[in-house]
Amino acid sequence: MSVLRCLDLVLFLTARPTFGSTIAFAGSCQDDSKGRSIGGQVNWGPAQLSLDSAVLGTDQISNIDC
Amino acid sequence: MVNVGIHEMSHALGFSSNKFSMIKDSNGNSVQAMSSPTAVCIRTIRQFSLLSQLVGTGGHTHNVQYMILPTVVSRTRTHFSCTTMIGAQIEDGGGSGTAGSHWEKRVFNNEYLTGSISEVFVFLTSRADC
Repeated sequence: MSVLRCLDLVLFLTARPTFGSTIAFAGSCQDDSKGRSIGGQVNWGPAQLSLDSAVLGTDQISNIDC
Repeated sequence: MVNVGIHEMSHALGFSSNKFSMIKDSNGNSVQAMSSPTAVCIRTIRQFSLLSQLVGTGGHTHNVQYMILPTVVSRTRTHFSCTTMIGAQIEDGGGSGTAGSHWEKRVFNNEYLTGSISEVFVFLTSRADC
């Protein structure tokens, strides 16, 4: 882990399926001795990912569960 | 998509119900007064029992949680131009990952840390004068 010692936060980005209207979820999973987050995870539902920029223009409202 | 990413990053950095008790002040000190876990929660999140005045309910009480950290209270009061606001109301709806870890949607609408997201969102802290 020495390669990580100069970093403030290690973020694990995953793309496992989400359910319902959930786009993504995230949380902290590792704290330092002061309770500050130094490790976290973000999971982004692959069905919600799109390279089509037109998607950004829609008025879609979906839940973010977490 | 960028909006969602910013939202999720905030959770990863600690905006989550299980982290609220660990919030530090600007000096890096815990906001808790004592070592009691209860005291920690009281200093960051406070629960009130309010009478619902919704039409048709006949009036009933329910518990409502607010984040009462000084900066949060200040920004919330400034945003709503209301000097008597208790704090920032915490979401009580949705699943276990939504309730408790977001601002109340009914109050904060498209603020970026509400539990559902829309194309255009705003930041509670974005006003230049506060």
